Amino acid sequence: MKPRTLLRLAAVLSLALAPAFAGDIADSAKQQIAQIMAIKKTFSPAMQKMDSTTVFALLRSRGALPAWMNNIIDANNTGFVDVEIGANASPSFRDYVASLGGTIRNANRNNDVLIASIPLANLESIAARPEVKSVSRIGLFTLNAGALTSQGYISHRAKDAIAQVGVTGAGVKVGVISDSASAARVANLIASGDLPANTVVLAGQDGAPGTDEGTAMMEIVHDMAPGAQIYFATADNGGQAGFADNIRALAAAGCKVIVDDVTYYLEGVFQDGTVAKAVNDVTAAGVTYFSSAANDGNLTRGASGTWEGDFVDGGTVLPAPIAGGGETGNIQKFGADNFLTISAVASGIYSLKWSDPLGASGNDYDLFITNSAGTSLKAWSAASQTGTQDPAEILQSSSIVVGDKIVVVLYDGVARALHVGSHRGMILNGTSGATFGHNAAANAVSTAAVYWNSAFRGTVPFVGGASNPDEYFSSDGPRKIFYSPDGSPITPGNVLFGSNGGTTLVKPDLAGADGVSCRTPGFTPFYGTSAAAPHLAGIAALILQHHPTWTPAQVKAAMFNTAIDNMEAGIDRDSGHGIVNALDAVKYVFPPQ
Amino acid sequence: MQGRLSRSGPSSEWADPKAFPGTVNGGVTYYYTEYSFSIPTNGNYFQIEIYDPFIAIFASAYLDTFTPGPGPTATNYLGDAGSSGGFDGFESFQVYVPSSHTLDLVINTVGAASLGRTFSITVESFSDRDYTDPVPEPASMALSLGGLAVFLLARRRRAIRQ
Repeated sequence: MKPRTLLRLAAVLSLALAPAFAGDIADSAKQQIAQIMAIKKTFSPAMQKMDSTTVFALLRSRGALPAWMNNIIDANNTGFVDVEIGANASPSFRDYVASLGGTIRNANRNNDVLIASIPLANLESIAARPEVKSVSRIGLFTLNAGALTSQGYISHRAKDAIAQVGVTGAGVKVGVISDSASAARVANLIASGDLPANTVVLAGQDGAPGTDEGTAMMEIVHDMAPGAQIYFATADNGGQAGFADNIRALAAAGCKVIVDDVTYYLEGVFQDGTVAKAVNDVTAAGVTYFSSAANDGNLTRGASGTWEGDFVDGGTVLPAPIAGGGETGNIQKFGADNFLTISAVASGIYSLKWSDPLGASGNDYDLFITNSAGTSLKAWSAASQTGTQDPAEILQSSSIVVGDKIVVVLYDGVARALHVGSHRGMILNGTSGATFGHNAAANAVSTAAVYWNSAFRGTVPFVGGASNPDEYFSSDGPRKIFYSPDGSPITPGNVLFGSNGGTTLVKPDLAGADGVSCRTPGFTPFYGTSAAAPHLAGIAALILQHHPTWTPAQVKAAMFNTAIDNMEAGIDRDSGHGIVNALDAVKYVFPPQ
Repeated sequence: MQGRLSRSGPSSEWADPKAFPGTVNGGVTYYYTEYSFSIPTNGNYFQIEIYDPFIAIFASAYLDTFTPGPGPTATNYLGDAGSSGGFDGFESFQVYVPSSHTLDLVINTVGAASLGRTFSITVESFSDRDYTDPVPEPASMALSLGGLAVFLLARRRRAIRQ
């Protein structure tokens, strides 16, 4: 072929691949999205109960996918897969799982969530059982960070509270929930004086092997309230259901203060889910509950990794469904663009949530990641939402880099409020509203992080204001909620930001110190909202020793009303009421009625 | 100096002093500067924090003197920051300095070029691990002011040695 002809063909091809306008993805990527939608159209009822990664791994193993999809899907998803099965697990169901070569490793207390290893080839058969509600990969979660003492002991004025008021937290039990607290590490820290001798790890709930982040948190609680007794239970024993079980177990053990630093990525954004409901239960029973706000960044410090807003139709993926079925789909328009641009990558995990009730999503949205040119897909999550599933998609990929694009498609349904999370990454044109799930629950004290020496004044009490800003990675609020925990809409018929649906929670509530010294290896120093939250839990123990009849509302009011304001003046989306002042909170006196 | 300390990860802490971490890049020239601090009475517990948003410097501490030969050696080594800056450019570490000695703080570049800009150091001493302030006697007050002056001067680049 003559060179001039070659050039002309190349020009035609490049035009065909080019996006329709500067803020759009290319037709080649749209073709790929359409192919995924066509395959999704053929999902069996059993597949509609499964998460996207599992379904596409199954289809890959059957040779049912085109080559380009096989090149993207993790080839290691073969053989046995570890899954959470949402099922009323009768003995006959357990026998059925075993007959298909599966092994049930664990179950939550209600016996309605099973952790199992199942041959990939038999997953669809199990999902087809009528008692099964869902089958998904093991819940991804993240952790939000003798003697040696945390600098927060000074920064928060806990030392002054102990010296001037005489409180130590004695008589108060504080429960800590994280990934793990191994027996050996706990024993070492008791021996060195960094944990109290009467530390209790609930039987079978140490979470080991893990990072021992739990012991680092427990060290901080002990530094702040050296007289308090400390309990521990893992959040990593049965997914969200197991986490919720252990929240209730710590309360049953007598803990009047509980603190955690865990976020399950699939927790609901616009409604209290399994874990938040457990928080609601224990707070109603008199527990003051603290949770890390998470480390997904804040807009104020230019580090947003979140986008929240309503669905805006950016046009159909293709003018018509491709041959063989499928939907046209409608692309979300983010301002002027049909995509969000990734500006920093951390976990490689991206999620999409929308304002349908948990377990009853009838609007089907999908999440895609393209290359920076917008010409081809790198990852996707395209599970089904047909009325019984959670409104969520999640993907994880190690191939995502800065410049890649996030694309959201409405496969079927109507406009909803959307929440896109890049989980410790950053995106251009992000918004506020990073904190979600039980970390931002109405009844939890959501805790932001402030570096102990952000004022460059050394180990002295916080002064607040612009001298003590939140860490750039500390998740911001506020938190919009559209549904009550039971799934009933707060503002029926109005589940959009634009029409001011739902209710808005001030989250985070308070801020605590991070970047502090601990003895647990890997946490020297200990950064993150995971470090901040236990400082506040320790202070709550000091308050409760001094005011043993106070309710959680009173404990929180004392902390709120004496907090040192930082970030924007007044109550703000970054640190709520501000940084906790232990001395003033312990000494707080309610105004006469 | 030729070579620099290995950034081995954990920072030195009062309860967990570090062993000398060894050196790396022996054929590379690095720039360093030193600051000397006297000990207030009952102020043996030192906490050192460096701030460099460009994460281009590293801090280590020695007892009385630092004598490279030609790079850092284990002689008089007390501890180091472990890495060149955590989140937002902050990094801190802790060392215990026995009485009748001085703290020799060494700040070195981690790249081959000289720094050419400012950084910040905070040096504090305490009488125990609970951050109790030492009470300086009148005779040592001038020394502590001198130490403060040194801290303030640290905000400007001092004479840099190789």
